[in-house]
Amino acid sequence: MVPEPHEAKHWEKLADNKVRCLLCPRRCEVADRERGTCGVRENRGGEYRTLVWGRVCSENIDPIEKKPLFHYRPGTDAYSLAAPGCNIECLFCQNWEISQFRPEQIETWERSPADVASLCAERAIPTIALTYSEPVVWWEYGRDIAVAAKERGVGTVVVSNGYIEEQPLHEWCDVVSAIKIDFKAFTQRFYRDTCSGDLGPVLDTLGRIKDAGVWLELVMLVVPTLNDDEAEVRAMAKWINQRLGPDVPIHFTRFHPMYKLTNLEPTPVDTLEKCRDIALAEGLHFVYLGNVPRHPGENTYCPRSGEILIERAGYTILENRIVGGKCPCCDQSVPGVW
Amino acid sequence: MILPVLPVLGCKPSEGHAGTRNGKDDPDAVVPDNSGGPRVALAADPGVVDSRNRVDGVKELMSRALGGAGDGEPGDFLQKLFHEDERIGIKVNTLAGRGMSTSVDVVEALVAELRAAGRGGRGIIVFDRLKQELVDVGYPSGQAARDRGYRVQGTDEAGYSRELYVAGRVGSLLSEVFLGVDALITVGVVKDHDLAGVGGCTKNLFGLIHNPNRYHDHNCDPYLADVLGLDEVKKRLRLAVADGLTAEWHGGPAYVRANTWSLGTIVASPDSLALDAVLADIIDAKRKEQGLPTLAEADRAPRWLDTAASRGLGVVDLDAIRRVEK
Repeated sequence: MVPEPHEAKHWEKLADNKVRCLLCPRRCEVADRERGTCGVRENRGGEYRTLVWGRVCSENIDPIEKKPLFHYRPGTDAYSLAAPGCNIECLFCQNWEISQFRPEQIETWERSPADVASLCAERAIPTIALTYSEPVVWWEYGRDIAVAAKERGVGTVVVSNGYIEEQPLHEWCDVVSAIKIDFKAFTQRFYRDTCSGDLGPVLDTLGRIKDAGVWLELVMLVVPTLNDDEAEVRAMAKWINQRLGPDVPIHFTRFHPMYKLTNLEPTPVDTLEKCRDIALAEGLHFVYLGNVPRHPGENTYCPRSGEILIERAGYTILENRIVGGKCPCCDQSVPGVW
Repeated sequence: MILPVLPVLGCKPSEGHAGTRNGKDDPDAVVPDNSGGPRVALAADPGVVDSRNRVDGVKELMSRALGGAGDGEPGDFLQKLFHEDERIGIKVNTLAGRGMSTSVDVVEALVAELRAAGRGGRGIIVFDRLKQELVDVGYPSGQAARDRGYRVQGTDEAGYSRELYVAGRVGSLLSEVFLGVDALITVGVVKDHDLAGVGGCTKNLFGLIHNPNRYHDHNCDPYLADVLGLDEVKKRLRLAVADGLTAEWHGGPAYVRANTWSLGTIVASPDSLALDAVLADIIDAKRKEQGLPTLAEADRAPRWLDTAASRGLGVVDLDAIRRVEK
């Protein structure tokens, strides 16, 4: 059964009962009875509706490190949930069984924003993570959760591809505590051919999040032969330093064959190490390796003293030496939400 | 556009082509005679639409259309296309509700012809994406359907494959109802389509995959050609029939009553692309008559027709198609 529709935001009426979605840069023009590319927003007689408000397809309590957010309340839990859908299609998607389906094609269950906020408040879970699929396409639901959570003293973080228009992004930034963006690559070719998206809007999003003062971390999944060119990684690091500043953490994570991209081997660890070395050489302060448990690149180091500030093993915090947001050795401020 | 090399998951070697039966090695295989081009038969009687004897009138049209498509008796044509012991799937299009969907009368006329020809021995299944949409359009369920010689099923009841099927840029799960049939008839509607240009029979195949919303960019080109080129589709698709009793010249796929006319026509062909090329021509003619820009002028020319034809999946050159008015 198609879930009950709910009023959608960020769209405009066009002639012939068509609508234009203004949520993401695709700006889909959708005829009556049709859906946008995301498959979760539908034109019903000239009115745009979301089919995923209050419909959860995955929920778990995860360590915040799993998002990954390394500079946001380390060692705490995040109640993590998803509704179905995505506005791009990465050929390597790890969660394609929920992101690439229509809501009526997978199991969903009802969870109102108030229920989500109450659940976290009552269990003293400090953070809600909008994650797994693409929160942009269930924007109304995610925003309502963040508003309800804020009223209960619970923070909300977003894990997104950053493929979102300016206005809905601003409205997110008003109510969320941190955002992690999957920065897929630094070439339009990769975005177009491997993700069916565009690089430009994502760069705009990153700058806007930084300007809004919301805590931001980046993840780049390094896919062998497709986005691991050293010059590309260097250019990306340079851009991050210049536009976002050296204190925005970036995680270079290991690719594993998945979905439609099963003909490539997992990323060699030395490729990830090379990416990390390049980013550090370009002046970024917090550069991590992901999906390589117990690698030293999982730790947070003080950019001034070089001391280990947070020692990690996978998603586990072995030791957190940060005191009052500073390095205990040299008093260097460590950016983040501690 | 450069794509990384994609693995072919779940695809099995091609076992035939649209319009063939069980491949070249089958001594009984019948390939419709396309010398001189594929036949697209149009059987018309605009009076049928609002007739008191609509059911009988539709049966008459179906018989003429199938006979025209096969250049003979409809039964002979169907016997050439299908084995007697096959399960036949009829993919209908019920997205737009009662106003602009594959009508029950047309499907039941087709089922009657199949039964009369002794085909569908393992069953005839009428299906679409959602059971509720089938019911909303008036298709019977359960025993009521079986009493009429077929079953009705929504893919939402059976689910989608666990495997991904890949062709060109399309990678999708396939309807388990579709995978459960031996042969497929696509029965679309004669209508304009906001993205694909023409609704009809090939666009109807988007209802076989789980993620059609992914493939609407660039006026569905090359995605419709990709879906038509899926091995699982190629080896099953034998016949295309278009319900043109009521047709729509603008505003599809939704039903916009003001944009419809009583065409009173059933169209049939073993070549889904040829049939859709003819439908595009009919819709364009009507649009001109209504003072509207052509599909090409409206920036939604069905370029996917040419893409599919260039891959050998059918014929779209109107001069090469034998348009048979019955």
